[in-house]
Amino acid sequence: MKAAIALALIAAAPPAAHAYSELERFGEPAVDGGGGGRYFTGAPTDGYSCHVCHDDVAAPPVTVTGLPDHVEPGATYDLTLAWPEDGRKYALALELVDADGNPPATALPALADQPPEMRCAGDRTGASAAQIVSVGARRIVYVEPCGAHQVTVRFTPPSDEDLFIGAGVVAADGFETSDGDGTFELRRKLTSSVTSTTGCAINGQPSSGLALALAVLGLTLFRKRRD
Amino acid sequence: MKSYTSSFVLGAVCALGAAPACDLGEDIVEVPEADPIVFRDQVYPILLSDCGFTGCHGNPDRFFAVFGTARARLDPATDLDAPVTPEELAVSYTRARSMLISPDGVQRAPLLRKPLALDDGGVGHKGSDPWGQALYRSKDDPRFQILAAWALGGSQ
Repeated sequence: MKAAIALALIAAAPPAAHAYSELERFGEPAVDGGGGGRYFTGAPTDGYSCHVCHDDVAAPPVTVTGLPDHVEPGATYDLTLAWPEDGRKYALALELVDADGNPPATALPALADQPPEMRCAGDRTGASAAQIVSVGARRIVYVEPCGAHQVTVRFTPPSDEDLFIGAGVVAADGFETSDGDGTFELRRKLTSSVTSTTGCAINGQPSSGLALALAVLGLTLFRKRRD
Repeated sequence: MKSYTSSFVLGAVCALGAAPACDLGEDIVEVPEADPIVFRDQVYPILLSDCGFTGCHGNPDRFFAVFGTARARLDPATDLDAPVTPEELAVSYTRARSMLISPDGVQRAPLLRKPLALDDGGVGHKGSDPWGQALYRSKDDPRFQILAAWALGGSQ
């Protein structure tokens, strides 16, 4: 009798938590075990990121390359996020939008061009760990936790509007809960080079505005010395 | 979730029903009526989805807290994907209902004003996202309208 009761309890037990290891689950109602329609990219379209649930006890060492300070309309940018092989399960959600919530043209490399680091288990013949999912007007880059170590996203700003990027990376400890995980967040405004008036350095080179200011300052000091 | 109705209502009554019997003199606070069934079917899924994170209102130490499936659990030992428990539903209901108390009327209750953008009558919310955006950017947000309808005694 006890065995039968135990068997019934096991049969009735809910499945183990996946902590949204599939993007589709974000679209399901929270009461059904989903995200309730929330895709936690951290971009302005949903400004909350993975840290609202996942612990941040061991922040993953994610490196970001190719992220410009300014963007030019029509230019192409290859943004890469990479993380180490440290025994944890990494998942990523990333989104680019303009001020109206519209995404720029966004693409992943063709499968044949994807390095082993972008594939499940880091296997050169493995499936791509990344996909771009359309959710209404949103385009969300999602990397499933299958053993990849990087993702490269190519995007092209269509106009002279500023862009906003939000990305969240969860490094899960494998215990199927949100405790004990680590999170990394990338959240930045990419100012259009057309509308930018800040005069900040572009790719390490001083802009013409900054150079002009330095020249005026130098000339002023030079004149004062002569006087 | 329907099977939880009786225990949920019982829990909610136990949690709130004793209040009128207390002799608190002029300190008696009238808690607005708030339909528990509308809460369960319409309001709770929204609050669970938008507020019940462990880093936010999925914390039992918070005045307003909400617990359930795929979010913070009232009992941390509960499986993340397990169905909502009657206790979680009852606690979420009483905490949400208590957020309807306002000396200026339900329309200005914290549950309606905290998540709303300042430009549309909100009062500010620590949980604004890092871009400075409120949870509900206007009263036109369908989620806000469901909360308001429940708070004001109607339903969607």
